[in-house]
Formats: sequence, structure tokens, C-alpha cells
Amino acid sequence: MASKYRFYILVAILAFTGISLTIYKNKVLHFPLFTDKTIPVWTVESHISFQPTDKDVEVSLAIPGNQNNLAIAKETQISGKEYEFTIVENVPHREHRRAIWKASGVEGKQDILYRASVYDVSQSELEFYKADVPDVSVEFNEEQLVAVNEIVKSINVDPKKDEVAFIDALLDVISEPKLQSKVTLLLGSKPTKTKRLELAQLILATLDIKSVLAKGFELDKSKKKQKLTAVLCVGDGDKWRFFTLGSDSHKLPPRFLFWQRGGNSLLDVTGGKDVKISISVLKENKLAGAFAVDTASDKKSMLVNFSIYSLPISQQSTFKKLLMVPLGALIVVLLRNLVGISTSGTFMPILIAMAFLETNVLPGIVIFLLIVSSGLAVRSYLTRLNLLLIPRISAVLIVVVFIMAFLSVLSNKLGLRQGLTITFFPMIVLSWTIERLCVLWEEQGAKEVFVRGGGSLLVAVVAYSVMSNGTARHMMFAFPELMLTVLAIVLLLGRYSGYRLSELIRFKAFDEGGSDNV
Amino acid sequence: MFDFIKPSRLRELGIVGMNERNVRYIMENNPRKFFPVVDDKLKTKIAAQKHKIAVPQLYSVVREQSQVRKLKDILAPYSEFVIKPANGSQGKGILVIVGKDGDRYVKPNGEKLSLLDLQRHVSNTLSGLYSLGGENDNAMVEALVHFTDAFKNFTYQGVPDIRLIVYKGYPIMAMMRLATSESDGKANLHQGAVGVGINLGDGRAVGAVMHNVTCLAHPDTGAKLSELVVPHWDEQVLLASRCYEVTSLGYLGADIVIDKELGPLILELNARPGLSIQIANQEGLAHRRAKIDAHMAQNPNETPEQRVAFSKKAFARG
Ligand SMILES: Nc1ncnc2c1ncn2[C@@H]1O[C@H](COP(=O)(O)OP(=O)(O)O)[C@@H](O)[C@H]1O
Ligand SMILES: [Mg+2]
Repeated sequence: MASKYRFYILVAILAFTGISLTIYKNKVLHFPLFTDKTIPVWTVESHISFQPTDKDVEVSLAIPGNQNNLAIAKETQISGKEYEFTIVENVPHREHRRAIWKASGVEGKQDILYRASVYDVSQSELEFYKADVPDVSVEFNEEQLVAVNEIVKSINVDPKKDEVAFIDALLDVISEPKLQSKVTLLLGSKPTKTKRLELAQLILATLDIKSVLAKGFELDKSKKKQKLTAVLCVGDGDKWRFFTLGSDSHKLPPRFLFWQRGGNSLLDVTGGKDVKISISVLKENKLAGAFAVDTASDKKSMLVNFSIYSLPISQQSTFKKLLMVPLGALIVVLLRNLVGISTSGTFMPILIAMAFLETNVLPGIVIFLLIVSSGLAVRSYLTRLNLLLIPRISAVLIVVVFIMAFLSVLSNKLGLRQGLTITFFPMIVLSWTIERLCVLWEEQGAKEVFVRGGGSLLVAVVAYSVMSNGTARHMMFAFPELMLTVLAIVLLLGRYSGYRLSELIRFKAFDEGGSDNV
Repeated sequence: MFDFIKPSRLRELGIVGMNERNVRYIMENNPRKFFPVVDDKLKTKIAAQKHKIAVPQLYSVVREQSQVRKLKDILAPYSEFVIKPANGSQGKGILVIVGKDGDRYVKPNGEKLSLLDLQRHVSNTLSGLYSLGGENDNAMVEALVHFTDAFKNFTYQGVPDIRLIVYKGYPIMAMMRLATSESDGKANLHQGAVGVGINLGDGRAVGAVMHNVTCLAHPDTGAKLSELVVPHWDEQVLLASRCYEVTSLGYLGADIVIDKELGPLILELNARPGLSIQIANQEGLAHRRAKIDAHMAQNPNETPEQRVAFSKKAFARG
């Protein structure tokens, strides 16, 4: 009894492991579940160059972090080996991340690259900026404060009543091409867009409206030079409105990547001059499964390190076929033990199905029938020679190879390309099949040969249709742990002691006089 | 096109299916280590003789090719005998010699074979021509069974044998398979042989089926099957029951033939007896098994005699 429980626990563990690993890889590591679709991946790169002026230099660059619908992966940097590189996550406002390079005694023009991959994720996974908005310290002098008050008053909207309209109006005032004198007082005569938004942020702060200044761009096509757009994000942890100069939409394009959120500057270089920064974007389509492995291997996930994707591509395709064998075995078990189809040789149908994968079904069936029937003809002659088993099978094997070569050449002459795929048929297994069918013929008659041979072919075709199914292939390849689940099912079927479908016909005679027989 | 019987109905009738046989009958009751005793006819015979179970007498065993040369001497004392591969099945490689004509050996159909023919046959047997996996085999020489005439009218060619299934030492069901012209003289039910259910209580036929359909008379001889009575019945049931001690197999098929003088003999034992016995008897095994299990819970370690007494009483019909 105890061993019985142990068995079911084992089965449950196997099934559960297979399924839960699959779900984990799908949900967390983003292995695509059903098809290996391609997904767009953007490689963003910022190139910083400067001329050192000091012995010690420090470069601090705002860098993007995960956000609502975009995730960052595979962050790399390239810099001289003197540099010490760190990434600072600005806790608690984690959205503000900075990459920091420090070095001393560097000479000549310095180039530093920061690179990261960005890809779509579904909304729910990464929460944008739930944290409190940091306070901005307002440092206006008397004169400036007066100007601020005047600006606020000049706007005919009460910020307490209609914040959005107020901010829109404020931005209009600040972004006018010909600035009012009170604005110039605060901004100077030729302010950048960023400066203007910074002013708006400060003015809002005096009115107790919290905001964050961010910079970013919409991910779209590849771009050599990507400009950053400054955005004023107003709101709290739950709801955000985005204000940009020259737009009233308060929304951002769906794939707007925030490069910098909060913080004072995009880039600070201490101890350097002639600082230049350029950002470029490269868009590529990648296979989702392979990309998932790429991104996840950053996380040193065991599941990924040991996944089939980590094999060389050439071997991956071999494995793609190999991994279908368990499914084929499952089909064989189902059809034999549940349906009750009898086959010749337990797993011969799987091998035939694998040959079908190369030849396609119809040509495959034709080739199979040709080989087996001509093999049977030859084998029945061998019967009369009273040969021992091994020489007999070897003789059949030679004949099978001969038939295969003959069919191959013949079909080539006829211009049928399919003939060449004949080599995918497992000749040893075919020889054994022929041997078995022949013995069957002698012992049990031709009918049984057709039943078994036909059964084998039927099982092979069903196994083929499963093994050639794109979804099934992808799933077994991306989630080889599903084999554990298949194993669990097979183990369970190993204990199945109910009737086979065929037995409902075999034992039909018992139905006569049955109590519930109408 | 197909007509199905409901699984619930089958279960109600206690019909055992292939999966249930494999899991609940064979795997639960027949540990693999006991299989060789039944799979190898030579081992079966030696074990049976040790337990004083009646079997066709073993004259000699040829184990090596070098002995083939001495075959003449080995066979010299016997005028009739049977040569069979120890690991054969389905009657393959069984050579029956019913007499001698000078130097030549006579088969039942009158064909005469030379010593050389016999040597070749034995040599082939040794190198595995007739054994299942083609492995080297032993050739047994055993006494010819003179089959009883009791079944003369009930069979077309072939020799009728009685198949008893013994569950944990208790005879659980019995049948007889009668060859027909359709089955080509072979006793295989799905090839068209007649399966006759035998009443465990008295050895009388309880019904017969051919191709799963009830039949009343043998299709070739026309003999009324209801009149079939197996002689020496009590002896046979006991013989089969005692095979449990020989093999330790909880689910065992015993094939019995009846010799004119020696009476019932165990011809072959089987660790994987099939299920067509249920069709021949028009009854399932499961309820009988339950009865035996219940009985054993009350009466453990019964002797073969006690077991037979129980089975005959519990499973008698009509
Ligand atoms: N000793 C014997 N005397 C006469 N006939 C025999 C003897 N042994 C076997 N046979 C014949 O051969 C058939 C098969 O023998 P068996 O021992 O059951 O071998 P198998 O495993 O091949 O069925 C029997 O049904 C019987 O007709
Ligand atoms: Mg037999």
C-alpha cells in the first residue's frame, strides 16, 4: 500500500515539476509558450566621449530602468580598463539609475559605451514608479519669487481646481518663442527645453504639485542619433500625466523609453572637458525563446544554463527531433494500452514516424509499403532455406538496403526527389519488422500480418502527426522539462488496468442477455 | 460500424481486460525471477519431476553440437519419441517420431526421416532456429504421449489440450481448445479454433464459442459439444493446482494432455495465460478471483487437495 502512495507521489512530483518549470520559464523568463515567435528587441547605446582634465575622472550617466511596458536586459559597458564601473540604483526611487565610471590617471580622448537591450513586456509585470515622488528643493531668490507669482497669477486657471489645464497653460507661457520678461528673468534668454521644464517643475513645486522630470524617446526604428525628449511627469504613484513641450496629449507613445527619470542631469563628467554624448538605437527581430535565454543568462538561471538553447545551433536541430521521441512513445502507449491497437515491435512505429518527418507522410507510407512488401517476398523465400536467425535477419537487412538503393535510383530517374529521403528509414528496424511479420504470417496467417502491419502504420501516422506539429515541437524544445510530465503520464498509464477500447469489441459477446441491454 | 459493450457492463460481469491482466494478475502475482522455470521447458520438466508432477518422461537432453554426432546412440533405446526445443513456442521445432523403419524414423504423417535429417534438426535447434530470441537452445528428447481417444470426435487434426488457469494455487477456470479446419489444425481461438468452457466441478463442457459466437457442434466433425466430458477430471485439477508449488507463480496456465495409459500429464506451463478462457466460459475471472482472495484470507496455506476442493465447489456450474 505504501509503495502505491509513493508511486502516485512520484508521479505527481514529476508532473508538477514539468508543468511548474514550464510556467516559470514562460512567465518569468519569457520563453514563449506555443510558438517561437520573433519579438522586436532594441539595443540602445550611449556613447560618451571627453577629454580628461584632471587626474581623477568620474563619469555619471543616467541610464534606463525597467518600466511599465519595457524591460532592460543585457546591460554592458565598454570603457578603458582603468575604469571602475558601478551601477547605482537610487533607492528608494529605484527608477533613477546611474552608471558610474571612475578612473584616475587616464590620458587622451576617452570613449565610454553603455549598451542595453530593451524589449516589450506585458504591462502587469513591471510597475512604473510606485514610489513617492521626491521633493524638489526650491531655491528662488526674492526677485525670482515675485516673477514666479506673477506667472502663476497671469494664468487664468486655478491650479487647485484644474491642475492639467493649469500646467498646460504654464507650459504655454514657458515655451513661448518670445518669452515674457518675467520668464527670461528666471530662464535666461535662450533656454533649452529641459531648462524650461525644470522651471515648470520648480514653479509647480511652489504650488505643492509634485512632479518628476524625465527624458526619453520612443523606440521605433534603428537610429544613429537619437534625440531625447524631456517630459514632465506629474502625479503620484498610481496615475501619471505626462507633459511635453509642444504637445497637449498628456500621454506618451506606447514604447516611450525613459532614459532618465528624476535626478539632476543626464550626464555628469567631473575632471573632463569637451564632453559629448550620443545615443543610438538598433532594432532587431529576435527569436523569443533564444532571446529569453540571452536575457536570462544574465540572471545565472540554472534552467537557462542547462537549456537546449545553450547548445550550438547545429546540435539544437538534432535535439529538436530527439525531443519528439518521448511524445511518440506516449502516443504508442496510448494507442496500445488504451485503444488496443496491436503493432509489430513496440517502438517501431516511432522510428517509422521519425522517418515520415523527413519524407512526409504519403511518400513515407508508399516507401514503407514498398520496402516491407518486397522484403516479405524475399523473406518468405528464405524460410525455405532453414537459415538461423542472425544470418536470416542479416540477409533480410541486405535485401532491404538493396531495395532502398534500387528505389532511390529508380525514383531519381523518374525525377521524384522523394526517393532520396528513403535513406531516413531505419533499415535495421525494418529488417526486424519484416522478420517478425513473416514469422507472424507463418504462425498466425496473413490476416494477422495485416492487422499488425496496419496497426503499426496507423500508430506511426498518428505519432507523426503529433511529432510534426509545430506547437508540439516548439514546446518540447523550449520546455524539455515537459518530458517529466510525459514521463509521469506514461508511468500512470503503466498502472492503468481498465479496459482497452478494442476489448469492448472483443468481449462484445458477453453483452447478450445483459441486464441493461435494451 | 462497431458495436461496443459498455465498460460498466464488462466490469459487472467481472471480465478481465489485457491491462488488468498485466497489472493485477501477472505483475502482482508473478515475480519475474520465477519466469525462467516456465519459459524453459527443460527447467519446467526438472522442477515438475522433483515435485512428482506427471509429465512426459524426459529421455535425454542434447546441449552441445558435439553431442549431435552421438544422436544415434542417444536415440537407440527408443522407438518413439518427441524432440523439442526447450525454449520453443507455438509448436515450432517440435518433431514427433512415432516409430522406426529400419534405420529411418517415421513421422505421424508417414514421412520417413534419416538420422542425418534428425541430426540437422537437433543442430538447428541448438543454434536457436526455433527459440524466441534466436539464442542458443537445448533440444529435449521426451516420451511420446499417446493421446486418449476420448476427444477423437471433437477435433480436426491437432491434439486437444486442456488449459487450466490456477490462481494462487486455486484452479480458477478451465477450457479446452479444439482445432478446426478453419484454424488449420491449430488450437488458437482467434484463428478459428473452438473454445470449450469446462465446468471446474465435473469436467463437463459448459458451452463453446467459435469466433466469439456460441456454437453447439464442432464445425468439422459435427459432434455435439455439450456432450464433451474430460476424463480423469479430479486428477487433472489436482495436477494443475500442484503446479503452484512447482513454480510459485500466482497466475499460472497449465496445459494438460491425457495419455491413454499414464493419464493426465502436464505438457507445458505458462506464466502469461491469455484471456480467451473467459470467452470460452462466458464468464469473467474477476469475481472468481475475489472469491478465492476472500477464502484465502480465512484459510491461509491450504494444501492442494483443500484448494481443489474449494475450487470445485465454489466454481461448479449448472
Ligand atoms: N511428448 C509429446 N508427445 C506428443 N505430442 C507432443 C508432445 N509434446 C508436444 N507435443 C505436440 O506439440 C504441441 C506443442 O507442444 P508444447 O509442449 O505445448 O510446445 P509449445 O510451447 O510449442 O506449444 C502439443 O500440443 C502436442 O500436439
Ligand atoms: Mg503449447
